[in-house]
Amino acid sequence: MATDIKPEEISDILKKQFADLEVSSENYEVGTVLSVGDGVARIYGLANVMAGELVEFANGIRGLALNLEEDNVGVAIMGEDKDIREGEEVKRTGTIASVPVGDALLGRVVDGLGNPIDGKGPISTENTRPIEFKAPGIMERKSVHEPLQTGIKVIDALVPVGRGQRELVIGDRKTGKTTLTIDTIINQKGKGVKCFYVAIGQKRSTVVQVYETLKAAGAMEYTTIIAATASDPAPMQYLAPYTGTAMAEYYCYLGSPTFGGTVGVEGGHSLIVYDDLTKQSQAYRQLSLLLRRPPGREAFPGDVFYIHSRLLERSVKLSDAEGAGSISALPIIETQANDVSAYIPTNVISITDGQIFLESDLFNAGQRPAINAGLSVSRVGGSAQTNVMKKTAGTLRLDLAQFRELAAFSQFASDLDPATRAQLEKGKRLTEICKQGIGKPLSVCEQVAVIFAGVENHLKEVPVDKVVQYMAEFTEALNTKYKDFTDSFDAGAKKDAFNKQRDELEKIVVEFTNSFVNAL
Amino acid sequence: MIVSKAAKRYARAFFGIAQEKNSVEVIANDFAGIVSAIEQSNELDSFLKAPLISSEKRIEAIKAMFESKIDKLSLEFLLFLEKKNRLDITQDTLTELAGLNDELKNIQRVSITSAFEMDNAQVESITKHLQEKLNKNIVAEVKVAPELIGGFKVQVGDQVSDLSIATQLDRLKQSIVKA
Repeated sequence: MATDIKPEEISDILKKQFADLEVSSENYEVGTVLSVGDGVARIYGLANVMAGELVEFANGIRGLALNLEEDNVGVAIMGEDKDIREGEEVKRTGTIASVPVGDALLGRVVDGLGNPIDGKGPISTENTRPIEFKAPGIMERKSVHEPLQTGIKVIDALVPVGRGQRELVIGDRKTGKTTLTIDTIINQKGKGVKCFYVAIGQKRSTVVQVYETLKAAGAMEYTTIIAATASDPAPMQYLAPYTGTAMAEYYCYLGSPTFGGTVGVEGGHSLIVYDDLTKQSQAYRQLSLLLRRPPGREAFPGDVFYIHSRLLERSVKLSDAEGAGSISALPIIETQANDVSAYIPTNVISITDGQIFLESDLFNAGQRPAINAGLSVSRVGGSAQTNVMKKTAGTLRLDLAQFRELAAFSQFASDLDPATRAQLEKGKRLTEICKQGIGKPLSVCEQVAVIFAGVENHLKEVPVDKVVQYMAEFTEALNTKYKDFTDSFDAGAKKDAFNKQRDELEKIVVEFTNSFVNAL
Repeated sequence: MIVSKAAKRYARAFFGIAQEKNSVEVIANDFAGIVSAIEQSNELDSFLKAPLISSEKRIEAIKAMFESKIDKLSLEFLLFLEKKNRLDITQDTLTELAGLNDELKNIQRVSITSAFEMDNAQVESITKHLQEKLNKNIVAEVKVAPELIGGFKVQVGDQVSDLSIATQLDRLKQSIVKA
């Protein structure tokens, strides 16, 4: 059916808009472009411009006023600098950069300033937030206490991440850092956590892949991708993490009276992934050097620590009075040749509440996710774990540590006493237990059951190379044969209930293991 | 436009002396002349800046050019700049001096840009309005820019008041696009 368009109606609407327009003087403040080049312009004038304010060039391109000097202003240009000429007028906009926020952004791909780049039309939302926001104070916060289930058993068991925590994912290139965070996003399905994936300095093709993966898993419904790719100007790459955080904050502060939320409303939960902050600091280094700020270690400017600390401090667990919302962050840092003592890695390690350390040696040896259990820590620890998981996985870390110590002797296996040999055998199986496929997040019940089988040494009859197959079949059985147990499983069970659950689980594990071994 | 710090200091010192000797008026006049001479003549500009010309020659030339035309104090200042090897900042210093003079006399320079040439009465009414508002003596520089289509805009320092048709149309466009 052809849409009925009446020309008179249209001209009526236009006439009305024309009539509504007030004729009044427009007052603004201007400066003049002195020099432009390398994505940076120096402006004379703009006497009252604020640090971090957006300015507009004559051709509509925007810039970010970063350096306020005695007689000129250094502006980072967010676009092509070749269209900007010396002597041109530059207008103040009077606003700090702000971005659209709200439900309209879910499922969308936006650039570093919140403009859509996925070809799905404009974003219709009334709400905006400034991209820079001061992190909440001490009184508004609460310590992290509820788990953010990553669905990856070795993380949930050994380095639990809580809602409101900042857990660094660090490792060389090609060790599965991005995959790990994407799996975590996928696992938030149905858990009411809004996810934000900030891609900084990546290839556009990689961003498309991430989008397709999330879409295929049905995770785009609650996810926004903020992409400042390698072809975007450095200021955009620098701003993208703040943009993403502003979008995440919208949900977190819904129920916070101090920060513009409504009393009585429950604050939302967000998860934000910064992939990766190494690239962001490099973009910031470029900007700073071009603005002639003095370089420091590795040519980074003096405030490179601050750009990360003020960003990550915005991750928060709000107190009950503020609606109990949260923003959890998974920043990613790429190391060179496993060197965690480089400048940016040490900075971010010291800011975050722990790190997940991925190693290429483990990755190549087939241990995936390639998490180094010894070096990975979570400073929030047990308070971000469910009761049952805490009790089950309690000895896992110790067992693995002892195994690593003994592993060096394993080549003399025949000369070892039986107790040591048994420990080695158990260790090998526990290492196998830690393996998990891509895009296969496990529920708490599945994780607990599998780890229980390993830690309680029920796998001694299962050959090491069959453990992965055992896990796959066991988790399947948990969802079919033992569905009653899975359904009634209570992750937060207190002591008495836990003991009952534990007995039941032990029965299931023994029964399944026997049938598995017999079938071999 | 970025005035070197040295230029600012020289200008302030010289202005102080001129005030003491009550000859600000004369000197301001002199310098307006020198600046326009430099602006008009590339040769003079490069002569003042060229490092190859010896000091004695330059002093002679400066004397020959300006001695009969400007006040003794102004000439001395030029020669002092030469002695200090600072003739390259002459122009900046003079601009800065003009600024200081404006400040002393409470003068605010504004630029009025209009789509069509305005008659004196119109300019007069705008400056009168500004005079009342800013409480300063207004010296207006009038420009014509046909791309404004109609109306005018006034720039005072960095502040612009825009009453042009071009801007109004642009605003109409924005309001339709964003609606």
